[in-house]
Amino acid sequence: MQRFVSMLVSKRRTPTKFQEIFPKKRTINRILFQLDTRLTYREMYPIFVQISQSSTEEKIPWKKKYPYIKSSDLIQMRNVLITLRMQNKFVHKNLLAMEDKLLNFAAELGNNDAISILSFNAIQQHDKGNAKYYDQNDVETADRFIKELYARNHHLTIKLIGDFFLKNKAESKAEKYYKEFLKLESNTKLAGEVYGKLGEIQIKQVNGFLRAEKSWLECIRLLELERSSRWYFLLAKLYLSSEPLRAKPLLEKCASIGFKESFKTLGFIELNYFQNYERAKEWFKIGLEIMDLECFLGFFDCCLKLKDTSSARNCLESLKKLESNNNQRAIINTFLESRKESMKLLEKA
Amino acid sequence: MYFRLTMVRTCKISTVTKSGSIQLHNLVKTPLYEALNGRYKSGMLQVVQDVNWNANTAPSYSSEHLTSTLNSTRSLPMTKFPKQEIIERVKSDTKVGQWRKFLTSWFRIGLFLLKSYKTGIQDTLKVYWDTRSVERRIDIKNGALAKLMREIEMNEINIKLSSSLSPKKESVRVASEPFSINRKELVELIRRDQIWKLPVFFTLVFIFEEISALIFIFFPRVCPYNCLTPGGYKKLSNIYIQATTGANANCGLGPLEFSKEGTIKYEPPYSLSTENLHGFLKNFPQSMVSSWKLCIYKKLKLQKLLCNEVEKIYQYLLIDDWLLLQGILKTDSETIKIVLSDKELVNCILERKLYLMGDDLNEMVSDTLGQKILLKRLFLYWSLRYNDTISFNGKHMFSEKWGVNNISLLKYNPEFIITNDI
Repeated sequence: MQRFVSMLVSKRRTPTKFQEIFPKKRTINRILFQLDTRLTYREMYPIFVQISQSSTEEKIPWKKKYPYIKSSDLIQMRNVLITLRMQNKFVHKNLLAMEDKLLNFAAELGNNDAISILSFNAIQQHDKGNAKYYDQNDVETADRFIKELYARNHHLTIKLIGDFFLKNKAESKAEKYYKEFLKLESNTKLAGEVYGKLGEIQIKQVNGFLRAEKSWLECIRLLELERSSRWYFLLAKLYLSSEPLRAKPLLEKCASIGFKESFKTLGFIELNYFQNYERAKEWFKIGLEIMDLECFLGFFDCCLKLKDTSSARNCLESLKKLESNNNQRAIINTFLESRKESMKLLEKA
Repeated sequence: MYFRLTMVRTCKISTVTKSGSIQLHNLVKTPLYEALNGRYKSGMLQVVQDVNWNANTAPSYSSEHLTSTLNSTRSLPMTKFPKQEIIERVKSDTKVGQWRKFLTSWFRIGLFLLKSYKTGIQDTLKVYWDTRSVERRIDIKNGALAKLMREIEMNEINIKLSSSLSPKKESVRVASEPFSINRKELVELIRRDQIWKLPVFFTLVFIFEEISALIFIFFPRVCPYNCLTPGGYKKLSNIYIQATTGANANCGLGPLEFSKEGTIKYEPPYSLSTENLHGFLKNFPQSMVSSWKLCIYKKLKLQKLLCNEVEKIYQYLLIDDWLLLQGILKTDSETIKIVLSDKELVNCILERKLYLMGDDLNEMVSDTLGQKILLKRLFLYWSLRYNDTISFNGKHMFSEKWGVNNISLLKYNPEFIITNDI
């Protein structure tokens, strides 16, 4: 017993704050399985603790303390945190700071992915005018690094160059780099992301919708739903007028992870096209909670079809309250005008 | 899909567009109707019998070229059967003795019929042969119609984007690629399946010869579409309108429902019952599905599959409308005369069900007044559907006007089609 107590005392205790913010072992293990990481939870956890306690400037003797670690493991740990953030749709300040720290440490250990990401961060911050974070020397160094990495055909660098051009609205150049990336790597999650962005460029070209459709289909095949919801929605929008039957399941997928814009579209498809009023009402109900105006309009129609007069009256009252908003007044007035007869019937009922 | 899908998160523009109630006299005043009517009155749009120009020999952007890519007369039935003319010719023929005039005239009528059957069979084979390459490119039975619809939508977005970039110059438009199919190719793709009627038809003609015409009047579905006589065509049109606008309900009128009370509303295929869907598909003049397939769908109550087939017909009608209107109102052909074949006009009216039970469309199209009535119906239908769409004269895209978000806001008033003055 004495020995056990002494062990407890001698064991270095992790700060309570870190324990509070870090998710349970089971959650992390699930993500590790998804990402197929090299390290196990047992090997990773002490490193997370170490990083949470150390500052960025502090030199950690990685080789001595954790002889099993590689620079790519730190990037994988960062990916764990990113996945966690995406799944929870919640950003914790400390975990975000830890992501940065992991990136810095990975770069120190010579990881090309980390160097590439940091270099692009430096350039982007400089372009934005945040000179206080990165001075001119940093930018020059970043520029040199990117050129060297590109010469070595580093995949992530090529993708980031594409992203950079896309952000600066040089779409033809971005497309060129994305295509270059896809020649090197076409069956990974990163490629899925590239397919999604490529599709967005292609849809802007004249008659490029067929190519965009192909890219987005590939994108949603490769990427998990949390990361590809945007492209699910865009694909659904592409199908919406011509093939609502194909658009519906895509929108439902978006709605399953709470994609805001999908509720009203789903509601209208169910109401006007498939004429399943009950289901449409449920979708609109979710939309009402996020104060979507068009969901109010749809909900009112659904209530009338289902002869639910009390809900229709309540909806109408809320709608009239919303009228004070100048942007929405025109739409509300048009709607009320077109529903005059139904409103009269509602008053009589 | 405004701003080519970049609206995610950033777009604040509502998709709800304003549209007031529309009455018949309002429809006549719409800019699209006026433009179409203006073209007809000025002679830029003409309805002509026997248009048979060759697209390959005529120079592009000529009147002949446009007409030949707009009409496919070889795949449609005759509008006028020259019975009286043959009888008159025999009467005035001095070489034919008085005693055998009656027999000769009927013999010649039979001969004419057989000849027309021969041409019909040849044309059906030609249509099948000529559309092989297009069919390989555009497989209409496997979602190609939806792709064409998306192409129209993208075309509209291009126009919208270009006009929003340069609002002052309305004439400046983005150089878009030509549409991937012309109207003649589209309708022939739909009509090429008539070839499967040939074996039965050929056997019947071989056995019954001239009398087969009588059989085809009573059973017009056995006959390939372009071998129909006006009598058989009338029977077919009556069956179609009767089966799809029964006494109890209107089961699917293109995408619009015209109720007995006179209201017009959008009719999605999913709102129809299995029986109605089956009736609509079975009686559609150039059905794209075989009847045994439809029968299985109905027996097993596979409503989704039936809906898919009805959706394809809706898509076909929309693309057909769009191509016709593009052909008629093409901006860069102000001086070019557009010729619409009378056969195509009759077929347009039939497919869109813009007629009443008992109307003889072929008879109507043969005189000027009837022609005007048919054209007016078609123009009104087009102005109801496409007025204020960006492809022709307005600001909104078709999907904004008739899309799932907005169709409930459209409020049309009665009178249309049912009114006697059309």
